[in-house]
Amino acid sequence: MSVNNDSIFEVVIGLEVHAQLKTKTKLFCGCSTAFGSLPNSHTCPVCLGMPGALPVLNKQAVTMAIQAGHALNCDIQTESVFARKNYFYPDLPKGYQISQFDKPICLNGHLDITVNGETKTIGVTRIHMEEDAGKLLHQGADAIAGATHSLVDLNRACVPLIEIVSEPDLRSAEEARIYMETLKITLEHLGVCDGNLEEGSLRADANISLRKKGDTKLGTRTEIKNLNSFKSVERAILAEVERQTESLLAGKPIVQQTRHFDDATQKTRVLRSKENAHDYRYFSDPDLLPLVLDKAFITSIKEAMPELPMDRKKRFMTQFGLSDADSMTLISDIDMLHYFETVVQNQPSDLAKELSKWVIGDLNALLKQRYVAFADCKVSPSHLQELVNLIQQGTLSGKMAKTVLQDMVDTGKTPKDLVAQSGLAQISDSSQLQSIVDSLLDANLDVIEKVKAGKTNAADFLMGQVMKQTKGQAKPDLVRQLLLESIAKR
Amino acid sequence: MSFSLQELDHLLALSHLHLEDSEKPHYLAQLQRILDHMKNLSSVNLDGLSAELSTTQSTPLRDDVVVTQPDLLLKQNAPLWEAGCFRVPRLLE
Amino acid sequence: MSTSFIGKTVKTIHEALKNQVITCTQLIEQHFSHIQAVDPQVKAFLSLMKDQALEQAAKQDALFKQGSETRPLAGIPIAIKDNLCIQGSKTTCGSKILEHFVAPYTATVIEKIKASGLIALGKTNLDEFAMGSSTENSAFFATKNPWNTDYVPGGSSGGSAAAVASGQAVLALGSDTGGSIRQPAALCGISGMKPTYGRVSRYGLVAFASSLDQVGPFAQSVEDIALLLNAICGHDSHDSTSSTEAVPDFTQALTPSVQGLKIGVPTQLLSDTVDPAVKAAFVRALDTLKAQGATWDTFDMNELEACVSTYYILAPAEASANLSRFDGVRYGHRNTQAQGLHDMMALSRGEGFGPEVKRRILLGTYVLSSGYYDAYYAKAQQARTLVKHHFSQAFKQFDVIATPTSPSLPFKLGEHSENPLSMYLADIATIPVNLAGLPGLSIPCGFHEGLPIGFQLIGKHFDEATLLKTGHTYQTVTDYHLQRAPLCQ
Repeated sequence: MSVNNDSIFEVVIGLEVHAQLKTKTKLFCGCSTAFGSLPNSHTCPVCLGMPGALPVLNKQAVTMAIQAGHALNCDIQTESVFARKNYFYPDLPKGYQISQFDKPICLNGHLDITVNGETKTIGVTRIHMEEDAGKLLHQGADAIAGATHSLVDLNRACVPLIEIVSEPDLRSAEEARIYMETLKITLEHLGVCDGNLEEGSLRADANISLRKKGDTKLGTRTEIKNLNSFKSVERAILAEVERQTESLLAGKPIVQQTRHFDDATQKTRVLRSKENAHDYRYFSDPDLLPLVLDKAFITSIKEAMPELPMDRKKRFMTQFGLSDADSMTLISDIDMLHYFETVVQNQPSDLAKELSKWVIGDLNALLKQRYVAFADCKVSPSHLQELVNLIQQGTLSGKMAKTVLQDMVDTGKTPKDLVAQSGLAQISDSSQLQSIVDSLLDANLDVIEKVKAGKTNAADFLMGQVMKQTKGQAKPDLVRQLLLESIAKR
Repeated sequence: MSFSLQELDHLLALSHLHLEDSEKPHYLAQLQRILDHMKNLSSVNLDGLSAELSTTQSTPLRDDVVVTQPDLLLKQNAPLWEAGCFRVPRLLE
Repeated sequence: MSTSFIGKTVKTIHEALKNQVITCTQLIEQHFSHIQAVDPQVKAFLSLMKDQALEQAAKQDALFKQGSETRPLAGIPIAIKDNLCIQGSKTTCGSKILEHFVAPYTATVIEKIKASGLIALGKTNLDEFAMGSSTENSAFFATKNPWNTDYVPGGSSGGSAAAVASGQAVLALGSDTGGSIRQPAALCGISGMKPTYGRVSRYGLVAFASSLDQVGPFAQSVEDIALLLNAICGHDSHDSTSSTEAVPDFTQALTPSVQGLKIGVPTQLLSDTVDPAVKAAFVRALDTLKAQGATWDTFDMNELEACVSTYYILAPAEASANLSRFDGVRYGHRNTQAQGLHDMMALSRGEGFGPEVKRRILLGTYVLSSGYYDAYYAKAQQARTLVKHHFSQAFKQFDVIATPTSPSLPFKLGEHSENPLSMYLADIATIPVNLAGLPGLSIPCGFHEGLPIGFQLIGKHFDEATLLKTGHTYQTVTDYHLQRAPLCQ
């Protein structure tokens, strides 16, 4: 049961999204950020929190944070400050996280999302930089509470993160999911985050509250932490909204608390309540000076930025006549997008339109079936161009081309070679086709009568016969033309 | 400003420090005395003074280049080491 | 073995080494013999590095033999406060929580002294995590004042000060957050300096209060201070708070003249709160400088008392966070009986930290906590700005500021252990210098009943040169710095 339009409540959601920055090294030390290595193999005195170690800020992380800020239309702050967020946990080696508190690097931005074809602007309150924590692997059982002991791996400790905090402008679980997807695509396009949710590159915390429709005051909110897939974002919010609705309808007020989404039960449960809420005791980190940025530096980053995905999407729609859905597919798959851009480069626009259809349609489907990435695709962009050219020239029917493409994907051979090899060239020789048409018409005089009587679709049967006799290689429009002309002559 | 046992317990929890109950009154008394002395800070005129480090210099920035480490003596210093990780007792709810 | 080089200064020893009057190996062995003889009474050292030291000495001897050694500090024995990391060696910070911790890397300042040819003899005792003014807060044992072993050597760098004062080392490194080099220097009758904040890298110095800590030199003379200062100062890319200010050759400042030097003295530090014997020695020092051509005058520093409150809010606040890493997870003491994660941490820390450290962590946590931040921490930050301003104003009028290093005489072991507050108040002259990030030098200026008294010179930012010049001039016309503790034989 989800909140529908009949509900007396309005859902108010804010998302805090943590994105790992795609730097080579960690935020405050020179350790590699590469994923999946032996535990504790990418560590040093700094990220291990050894006595006497000190942090030094990664320039590339700053650049990437600024890029994200520009993409989200933020005011990039010329002075921001790092602060210590104090709490104890084994995956936090120093017993505090270096983050940014009252002076973050970006403020006052927004992100436009498309919901049911309509554009909605979601406010971005702030973006700040912070270090990631290590990993705690619970041993002995599946759930945290059932574990007998835990193992700490600090490879991830100090990996750079940006935390993007949205205004509470989202009004449904679906909107929240779309917001997070749009954010992912944007950051991927910038090259700032690899958007790999399975590896934890992107995580969200959701703040959810309900209020009576028409109310302006915000209701008590709960926080659901660590949502690491688009599905879980949507489901967790739905579950929590249901829980809060039931609670309020029963007259029980909502308690401000932190909750966790349980995949197994598809429900949220309490992690900690306000009474046990952390007092983080934030203060400016004395091991770092404030980050003071030159306005020229900030501007130069903006000027060097690639086209933003949503702008690209719009451009594809106008330039190549792609549908909204197809355009969205293209920008959501960076792999496909890179391939596409090479394929359509320097092509006249009508050809480009054709090429785009092939990339997003048939080629994409073939590759996905075979679990092959566009980057590893055997069909080079020039081969695809050749294929489309063959269709344009009439050498290949569209239908035949699909078969050829499949062979191209599997063998990497050129379309010309494959066509020559299998004799698949389309028959567009009128005289050759005319003789087939004539003999069919002679054998089907009743069809001629029907067509002359006005039932032109009776000719379809004959079309089918021609195609059958030519093993599908006859050029269809030519066949139709010849049939109708020949019938008219009789 | 009177400092209570409850407040002391709260601080001990925040700072993850264990004190025996028998020790607590002693710490309480000493902290109280120190905090009382700090009242003299309110006699100083602090109007208009910044609470922040005034700076023109920015925190230094480091190039994004991997630095390899020698043996960090992790196993030697670890209280409990298992499968290349630091082993800790479970989290009790 | 003929001449003893115990209690000598760098120049004398350097000449002897250069001229092969003594080998480096003999010199180091002499010092280890002396340590064996006197340290049971002084208890300056926590651990010794004899094998490494002799290995280095052998290498050094080869260089001296070749005649290619030009470094002024080559082969000189130095003691290191045990809150500085040396790779492969124990670094305990005077605490049970790090009793068996072996540092996996070396502090930048230690790399630098190695590069200058200095030979580390061992790690010296300190108040636990540098928190204290007597070295009685060490979890292991208390260090004694070499002039009278019933008395404290000062703290927190008491071990380093005592090592130099008793001739066990020629030089020593300490750290100073609120006076922890200057005060023990004064109580032990030697010279000690806290450089300008940012002069010396803090990478590898176990942090107490990050915005106040600095590593600095101990020596028998200002001349030797200058030499050691040359070796340790300089920008370090591993320390974001490290200064890029150019480092001059500090020995160039050692010209013995204070003609026209304007000295300022805070009125509050000439008052009755200062022990009469200390005050007398201090005024005598001022007069000595005056006789050499300097002038001195008083100025008002009425927030001086509030400085102690300011410091005891800011330092514990930073410390409470800096010490959070000691949680029993990755290194250090762990309570293995605890059932759960959080209990394990709390018990490990409760067992591993001493009372003063716990007190300061609690204090620091309190002043940062929700509801109290504005009343304490934010206010203290403002007060700190005031102190900086006030010093800036004073330096428009004066070239250096002079004070007694400590308002009180050395005290007996155990005298202040019941009342931490009284110990805190004794730091009134040194604390403001850390709050403002200025350089401060303490030099011996008298004795009272056999116990040393020191006075402090405070300079403008990065103006160690004027302090060295003034201190050196003072030492050319006085002989307090030439006195040696009886244990120095």
